[in-house]
Amino acid sequence: MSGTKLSENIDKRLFEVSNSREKRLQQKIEDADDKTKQEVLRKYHPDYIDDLFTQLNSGVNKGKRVVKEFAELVSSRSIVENAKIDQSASFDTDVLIVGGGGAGITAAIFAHDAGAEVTLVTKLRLGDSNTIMAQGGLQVSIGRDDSPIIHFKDSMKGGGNVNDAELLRILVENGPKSVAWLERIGVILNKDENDDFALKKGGGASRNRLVYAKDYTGLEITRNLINELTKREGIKVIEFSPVAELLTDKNGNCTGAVVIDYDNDHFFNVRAKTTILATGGSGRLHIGGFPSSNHFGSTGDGMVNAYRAGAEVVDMDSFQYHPTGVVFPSQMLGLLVTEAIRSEGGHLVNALGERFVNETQTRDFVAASIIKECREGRGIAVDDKYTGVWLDIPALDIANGGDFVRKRFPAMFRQFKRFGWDIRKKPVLVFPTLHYQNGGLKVDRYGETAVKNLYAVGETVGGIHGRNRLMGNSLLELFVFGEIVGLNAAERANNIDLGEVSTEHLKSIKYIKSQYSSSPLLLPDYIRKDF
Amino acid sequence: MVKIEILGKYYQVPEDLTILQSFWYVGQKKIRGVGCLGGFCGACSTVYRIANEDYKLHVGLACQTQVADGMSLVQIPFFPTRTKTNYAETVADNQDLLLQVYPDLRKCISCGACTRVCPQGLNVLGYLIKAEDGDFETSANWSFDCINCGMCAMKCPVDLAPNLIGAYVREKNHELNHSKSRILNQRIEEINRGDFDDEWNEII
Repeated sequence: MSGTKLSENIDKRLFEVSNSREKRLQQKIEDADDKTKQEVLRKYHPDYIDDLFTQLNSGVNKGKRVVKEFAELVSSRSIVENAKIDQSASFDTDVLIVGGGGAGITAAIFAHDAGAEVTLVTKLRLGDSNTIMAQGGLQVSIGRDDSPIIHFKDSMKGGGNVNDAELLRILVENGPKSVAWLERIGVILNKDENDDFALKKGGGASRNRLVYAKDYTGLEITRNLINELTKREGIKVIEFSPVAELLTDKNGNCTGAVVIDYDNDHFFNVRAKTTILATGGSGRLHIGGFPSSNHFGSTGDGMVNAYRAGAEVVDMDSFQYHPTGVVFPSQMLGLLVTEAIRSEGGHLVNALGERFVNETQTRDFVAASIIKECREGRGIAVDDKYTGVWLDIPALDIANGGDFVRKRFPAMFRQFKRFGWDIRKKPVLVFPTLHYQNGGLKVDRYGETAVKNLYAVGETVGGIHGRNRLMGNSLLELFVFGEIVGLNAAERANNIDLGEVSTEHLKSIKYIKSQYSSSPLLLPDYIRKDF
Repeated sequence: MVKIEILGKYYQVPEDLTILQSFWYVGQKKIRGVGCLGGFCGACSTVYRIANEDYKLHVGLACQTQVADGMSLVQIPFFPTRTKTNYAETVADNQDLLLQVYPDLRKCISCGACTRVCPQGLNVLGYLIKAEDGDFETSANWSFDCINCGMCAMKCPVDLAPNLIGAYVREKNHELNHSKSRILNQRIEEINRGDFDDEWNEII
């Protein structure tokens, strides 16, 4: 790009978008064929860029291809090394749940209702998670033209046919039951003119299958989950207390965790009969230097802990780059523009004022297509560092009429308005942002990892979504598997005793030179270094 | 660069930063007062004044508010509130129900401080009045976008927690005025009956 800054030149560029709008609204773009799709993915999708990957140097999956950040964290010095345990703060529980997002809270509720004594520890506040940020919705096959089978096939196709079929079947078959549970605990989802759930179509889905609560779906669910948890007085919740490492006995079974109290930096042991990891994904590791749409706490810590204790991982070389992360206005860098904008008819437009992809195809392909436009010179440069393509949001108001954008997407309208950008009138610039970890810990149908008495649920688990998750499947997963894992961990806990605790399993780590001073990484470090 | 004051200390920071980014810029570590970074979680509520500009106290989310010259700020990531204590299961009408659970709502003097402080721009006083009138449906709609940051509770001169009252009204309204999805239950019955089993056997 020449030296002109976008902000000086913006009116002209905006005109290019509005000028071509009418023509674009009449245009229909066919889905790309499989061959074209594969070519674009292989050339432009970050999952295929070898530089981002390396092999695990130790542990059960030694030699497996994973992203460099994860491999380094697994082989970096543990944060509990030489730590003194505050015995007065240590205690015992039946079921220990790590993480206070959608999966963790759901598991806590079901484990408690199954009769177990439950403790939930979480890094930040209860509810602080990617769940609360989910805008799009949940996929559930309740349309008359739909079925769990079609939901299954769509998800398989989207995931590259490598999804764990057993887990995926559980997801799609139990989906409706879980949404009914959410409805029962008070979650309000949008209704249509028949006073029944309004259904929208997500990228890669062949039917209208998304239920949603405006663009505050995750917020609406999370606050109801917290309310439901708070009603149960027996559940012990400890905020601002992340897990440092897991505890194991001499047979390698999990027996609880070492926890840090962020308010005094003390370490304490929670001895537990069963432990559930619901620690979420790892977007804040900024794989490949990409910006991320994730919550501040998404650092992959639970996976590092579990792998070091002997759990297996799958597809830790597959991440979802959400096609439409904001690059302009700049204050919103990395933040998401929900896929629903595209499923409702938002256009992706290059510097020539042209659409270049059917916007409702799977996220991996749409993301790769945007990267392709930018690499081939049809992007719009924001500054020296970031380039993007237009997301024409105003087209939605024209296509749908009235005050559609503001009413249907109040959260997003507000986000941009705070920085002086009216998305009813102006398009925004987008580029793929690191959004979701497709892979993660390997679990069986009960949610148990290869380490006995250690369960996992939510984004920290891999397999269900294959190598590309469809919108709305991850939110659904939290409640389907949150219930399963909560019930199973409680049942196991009712039948076993507390074990002895040690961190001996850490001795198998082979240390390497690392960018991380200790591991796991609990929070990203954004403090300015160039003083 | 602009000059800002954080808890009594002065710093120069670039003007295009958000308040949250300015903490990191000056070298402060954040654990409390930071959350989703996207304006959804309400963890980073910040109170500030702009020196010499106006007499007003402003409230914003640190991740969603740009710094400004002369800004003097403090974060309020937690605010003590009283949640409902006694549940009345069967009460004749909405007003009675609400006033039984939140009797302190009677103390509201309609000053509108809650509405003025809301970083989401909600009509907070409006949804309280609608609730008190028994119009739970309108009240629930007006409070729906609440992110529970608690700034209305901080500002209320008679110590109400409008955010919690809004949450209670939404919960009750859902229970009293909303029908459950029929298509959802129909599908659950079909699955339980095994209607799809033959197809499953073909593909798995």
